[in-house]
Amino acid sequence: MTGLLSELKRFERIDLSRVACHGTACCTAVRHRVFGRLMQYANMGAALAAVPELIRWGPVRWPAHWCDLPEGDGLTGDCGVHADVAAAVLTREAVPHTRGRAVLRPAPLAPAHWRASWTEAGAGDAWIAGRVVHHEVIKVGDQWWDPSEARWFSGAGAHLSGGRVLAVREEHGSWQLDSEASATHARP
Amino acid sequence: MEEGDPASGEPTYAAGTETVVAPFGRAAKAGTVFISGMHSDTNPSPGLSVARSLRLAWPGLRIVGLDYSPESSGLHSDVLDDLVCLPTWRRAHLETWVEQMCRLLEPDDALLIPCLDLEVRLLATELGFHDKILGPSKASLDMVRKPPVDAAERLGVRVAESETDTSWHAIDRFVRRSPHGVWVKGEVYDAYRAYTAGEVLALGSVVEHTWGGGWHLERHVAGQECSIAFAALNGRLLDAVFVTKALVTVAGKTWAGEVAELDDSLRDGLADLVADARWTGGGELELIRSWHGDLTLMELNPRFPAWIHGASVCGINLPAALVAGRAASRDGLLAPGFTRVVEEIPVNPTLGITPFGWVAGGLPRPADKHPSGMSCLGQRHLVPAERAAAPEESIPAPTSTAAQTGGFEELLGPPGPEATPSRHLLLPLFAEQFQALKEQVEGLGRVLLAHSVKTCPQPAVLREAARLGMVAEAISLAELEAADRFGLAAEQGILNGPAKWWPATDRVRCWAFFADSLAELRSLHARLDSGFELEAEVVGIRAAPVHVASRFGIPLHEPEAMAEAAGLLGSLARRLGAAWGLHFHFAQSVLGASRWQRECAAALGAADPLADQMGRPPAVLDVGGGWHIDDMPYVRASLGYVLEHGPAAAREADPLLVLEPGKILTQPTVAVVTQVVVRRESRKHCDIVVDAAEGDMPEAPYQPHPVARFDGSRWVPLPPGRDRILGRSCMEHDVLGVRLDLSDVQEGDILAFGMCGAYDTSMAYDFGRGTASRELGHS
Ligand SMILES: [Zn+2]
Ligand SMILES: [Zn+2]
Repeated sequence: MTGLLSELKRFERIDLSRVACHGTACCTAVRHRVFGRLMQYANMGAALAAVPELIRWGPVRWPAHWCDLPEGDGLTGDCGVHADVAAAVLTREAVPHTRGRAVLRPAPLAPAHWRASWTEAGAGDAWIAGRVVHHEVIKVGDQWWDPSEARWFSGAGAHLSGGRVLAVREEHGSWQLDSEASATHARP
Repeated sequence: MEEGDPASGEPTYAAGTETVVAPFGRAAKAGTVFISGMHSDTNPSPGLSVARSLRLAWPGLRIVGLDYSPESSGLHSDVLDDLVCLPTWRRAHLETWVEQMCRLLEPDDALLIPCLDLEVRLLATELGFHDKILGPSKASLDMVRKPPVDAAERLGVRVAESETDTSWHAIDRFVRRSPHGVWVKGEVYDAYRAYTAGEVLALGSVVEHTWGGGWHLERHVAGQECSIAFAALNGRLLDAVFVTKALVTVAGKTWAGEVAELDDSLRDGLADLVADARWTGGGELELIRSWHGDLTLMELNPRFPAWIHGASVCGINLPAALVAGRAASRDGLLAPGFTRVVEEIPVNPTLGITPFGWVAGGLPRPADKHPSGMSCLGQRHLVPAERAAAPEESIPAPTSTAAQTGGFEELLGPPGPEATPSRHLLLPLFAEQFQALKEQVEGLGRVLLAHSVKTCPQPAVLREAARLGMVAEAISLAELEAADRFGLAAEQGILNGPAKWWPATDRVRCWAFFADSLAELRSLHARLDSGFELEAEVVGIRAAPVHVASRFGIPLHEPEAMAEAAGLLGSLARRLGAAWGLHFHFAQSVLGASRWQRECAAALGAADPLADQMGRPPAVLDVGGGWHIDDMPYVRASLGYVLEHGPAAAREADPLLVLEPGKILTQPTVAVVTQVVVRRESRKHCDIVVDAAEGDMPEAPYQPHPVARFDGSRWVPLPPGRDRILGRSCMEHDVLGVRLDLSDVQEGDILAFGMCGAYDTSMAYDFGRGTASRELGHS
């Protein structure tokens, strides 16, 4: 348990992601590219699902600006970018929500892939701890939304394709733990 | 994963209780077998099937499932002792993956049976030869690349006709010559059935988008789907099985199958193939067995098929043979076949249930929705392309005459001072096509060629048709009159269509007419009663097609329609003192030669029962027109088929055979010259806008047209590529050319479209010029 708690403490120091804007065409053009596309959806689930389809999951160096996202033909962003964009879509449609974070326990062989990709891109990998990772999510009503996977989940104890959710925390709130999972995690 | 790290799993040799029948021996030599591709739905990967087969042979063997998402359903199965869940290929890191695969295979007694096509290829590329991977090497894979021509030769079976030129023109021709449709096949994976060139173009871009690679076409072969699955080790064929699909899913995946041993010649051929390729691992040959029993090879997959456990439960256990390095001896089959059932199982608590994932309807479906995410792997281009993308390697189709789709540019003079777009008549091509057609019909009996006025009412063309000895075929009295003015005498003309008596008049003289409906026959009687003067030597009716839907003709295959038609036609012929005839028309360019000749023979078959009821045979059989310009070489064979398989009257009564060659003669006779107004580049391709529009060539958005560019001294055909030519109008569908290479084309350049005769000329209209259309009724 102490292992998980110290990871949680460490993750708290990671700021929730906010993509910055230079206030000039370099950034406003990218913002337009993203939100112009997302506006076409009349259905909120479809609009939020379009976020990770439009912005391929991958490393970002923080603090990031909109003009840092284009890569090749597409856009690249991590779950922080996905959460920030999804939150903006929710805000525009006046859906009450709060930003938040989750701690996931991924499959054992997964973190090595991500650490390698992030290191190659020169991006910080503070979000990857020993056997758990930090992941940005959104709270909508009494449900949680995973902006990178476009899935609802019930909170701590749920399973996402990125792994089991060990803990969740709303911005300015406190951690909610999955008792069973944290016990498992604490096992040496 | 509660079982411990799979990489360091203790070798748990299959303990084999005393009661187990163990044809492979009680213990496997392997301690742990890793199997990838575990997803099991209506389009399953083979992994779970392979795992079950190994479990059947060795109840105590340690079997570990491997896949790239917790949503891979087979990972939840209790047939597995453990599982390895790697990140989806959208999130995986290649070198890390290679390292991890090597580490999993470090223990002496570990083996991997890869069951995902692209993963097999990536393993071969990244790990080279690896004695613990029971999959084919890069060299083996290279020997069986698509289309599998060499493999088919070694096995002594046929291979489906294929087309690697994916220019619009080549697609159009291949589809027209494939009566059962075609398959759009991705380089590595995926196949979609298509029936039209438009569908092929759309599906081709789906394949390119989903898999990030090229594609080709294969002709569908009608027959029974079957497969040969095999297992081989270092070029030695261990065992094989022949399965005939008995039930398939909507997507064509096997649901039940009949299991059999290979016959000796297939087994020998397969053993040779496997030896030459030095094959290791499972494999599958997908075949079609024709009604006569001969086999066509469609596909060679570098892994076991997903139904492989179906063969195992019948007693032919190929996964076990692969792991044991030998086939088990058997004494007949345990069952003659297998079927699948659907089974619900609880999820593995470690993986949990992943909630529903939303999709964005407006964007293309995300490529990685299949849990194993192989399409993401394809898009990352980590596996070297087996073949260069189609445009680079397509070979221009050989052209024999200037009338065919290439070569029109040789007849076209240099661009003159006239404004573009401009239309240029290439009249010599009309006579050239006429001669070619005459050669096709020579020896087929008495044949009359009638120029279809609507396909080119240009005075010069009408005069040329008259000079060549043709008669007019008209769909209105106005057309008949126009033809008459330019030398095609009305009294020798043929009237067709649903409104042939328009515009109204008291008196008509023609050689023949064919009524389009029973209502027309009835109204003719009524009009004759009230004084209409009609002179014709032949009265006829048009037969509706039997198998394809059409708004034209009388359904003579329905007995009531036949009886009424015979009565009305008989009395009309008597009233006019005329002979009778039967007419069929459906565009051959739509059906292709093979389907057209069957439709034509079937519809004209009505001539025999009609003759019985009329008391005399038909004097005329009219087979219409609508032939595609490329299909000139098929005319003779198709008409021969119709004469042989159509009504007995065609062979016994020596009727006059009438052909109404419209666009096959007129299509090449016009070129449209146009100037490039705008050139716009994007990262991947470029578009140009020209000053011609679909109004100037109305078929251009639907039919491929050859295009040439004037380089200052001569016209040079544009090669195939990925670019488009857009018309100047503001209509979305005003796209005049696709899949062309426009890299040499600049703004201001002059281009010419060939094959703009026929409907591209006769149906052309003014649009976007600020001109008001002619007021109807004020000609
Ligand atoms: Zn910027
Ligand atoms: Zn995340």
